[in-house]
Amino acid sequence: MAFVRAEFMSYSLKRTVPITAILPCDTANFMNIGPQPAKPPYKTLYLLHGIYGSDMDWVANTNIQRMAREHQIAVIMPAAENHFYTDKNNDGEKYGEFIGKELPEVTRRMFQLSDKREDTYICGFSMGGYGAFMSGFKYHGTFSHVACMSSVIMNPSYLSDITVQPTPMNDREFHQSVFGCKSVDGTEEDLCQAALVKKLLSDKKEIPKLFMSVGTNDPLMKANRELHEFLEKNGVEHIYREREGYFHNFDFWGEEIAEILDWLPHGEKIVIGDSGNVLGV
Amino acid sequence: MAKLRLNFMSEVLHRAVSLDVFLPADHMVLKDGLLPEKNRPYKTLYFLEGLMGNFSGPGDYSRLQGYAEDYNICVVVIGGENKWYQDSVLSGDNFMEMISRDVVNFTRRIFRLSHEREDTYIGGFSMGGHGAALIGLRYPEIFSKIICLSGAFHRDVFLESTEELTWDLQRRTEYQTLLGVKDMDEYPDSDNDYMKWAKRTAALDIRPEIFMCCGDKDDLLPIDEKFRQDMLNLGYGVAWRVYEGAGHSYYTCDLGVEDAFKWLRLENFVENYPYMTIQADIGVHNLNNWNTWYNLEKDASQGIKRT
Repeated sequence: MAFVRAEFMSYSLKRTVPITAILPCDTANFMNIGPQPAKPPYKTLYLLHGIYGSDMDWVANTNIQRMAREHQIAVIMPAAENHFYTDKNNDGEKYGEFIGKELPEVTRRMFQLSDKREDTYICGFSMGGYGAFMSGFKYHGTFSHVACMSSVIMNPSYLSDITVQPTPMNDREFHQSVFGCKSVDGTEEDLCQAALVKKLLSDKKEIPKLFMSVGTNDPLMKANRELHEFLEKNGVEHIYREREGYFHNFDFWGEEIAEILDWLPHGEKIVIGDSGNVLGV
Repeated sequence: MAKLRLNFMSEVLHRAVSLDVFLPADHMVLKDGLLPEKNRPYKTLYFLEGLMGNFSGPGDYSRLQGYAEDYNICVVVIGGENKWYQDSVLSGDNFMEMISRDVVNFTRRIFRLSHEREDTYIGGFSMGGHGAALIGLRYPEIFSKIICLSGAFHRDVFLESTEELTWDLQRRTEYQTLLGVKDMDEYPDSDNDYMKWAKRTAALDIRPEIFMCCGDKDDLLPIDEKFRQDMLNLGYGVAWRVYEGAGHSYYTCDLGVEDAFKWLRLENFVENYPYMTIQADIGVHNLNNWNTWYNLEKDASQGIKRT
């Protein structure tokens, strides 16, 4: 297992950006338990953070390192600030392009990652759930599987109805600036009406396999359920789970990511002996 | 330039080892422009840090990173933990095996690096210069070029060390432990003796080329000159620079890195001479005359005198 903190020059964001990566490259095998590790090129999961988050969120709050090792999968965690992974903001920073196009491109140059669609997955929670959905469907030629947890669902009234709360992220002006418009009504960014998905279906494009889940105590549950019903009505195949008693936090995402890793088609989970070799730089 | 700080499980040391890696995987290109494919898979320089430093030193205190980008080469920086990059049966600190096996395999496993010896180099500063010479001369099938910046070629220092601390950091007992010998008499011609491998490799077809430099205010200058002479006598091609006013410091390391990259960049720097004409003449390490200089070194190694 290699734990990597990297920074590189991004052409989508026009500046140097940080990423954190986990590579399942171990040949050291404590007490020789378990089979030999996978050989490169590695299957890859791009993991997105939520609002307020950074590239270290997943590592700090979940067992993603151990899971990546057991599942023999490379995990790439970018940092995308509070910009909802969109291209539409007013400051010229293309977060959508960064996640969907540049990140796979650069990380495949950087590491020995598979460049096959069937080996490339994207997942996120909250704002990252929205980002994973949008990036996964917009760059459907790159990603074969999309998993969204506790997603923020942009709907036509989201930007205009949002009330000004004490937290800056609930500020209406901020959101309108991020999306570069007063309302997402009728745009690709409107996840509620899933214009992007409809377009892919009508164009008979191969759409990614979709996994959605949300905790029943999450204020975002209603919107997620509505999207699930909408997708069902429109014949979009997907898995949807409501997890009883879970709220909008890492207690949920830390457990759910294990289910998502089981759902992804990347061979069998292996058992590995360990003796305190969890890494961190 | 992508800068990576990472760690991995070393099979040899049975613990996590940290590295800095500079990888020219990103390039600022105009929108929809193509990323350059030049030098891919990447050529690689494994760079070893000196005493008291760790993997972060060379990148932070010299222009190693910038040059890696300029020359489109991957640089992997390894710390030596004051262990002199040897294999010790006594302490289990098998740094030579760790680097030649674990680090090389690991970096080739996760990055897109060339596996060719022509594209793989090893270098280091001070203690790292010793490590680069030892490992580079032992494994010429992996490394084609060796860079020693103010190299601490401490064969004699090891042999003459006492239990008193002098200007060096370690006592005889500590050196013996690191060299994996109960008695210092066992060290000469052991696997940790770079002169053993220098003699062995001198007879091979795949003899690495060597770049050396040292400051003229550096206490190690006589040691470096002796090593250079030993290598010339064995028939190695040695490029050699002495920097005026430079002591044993990152200043020398930085100047050496600059010159070493110019030397490395060229598959055969005599044929690629035009590259040399573009470099700035900045006094203390003016390299305008590399062609002549290299030939003089080569002639000297063959006992030829030129006027």
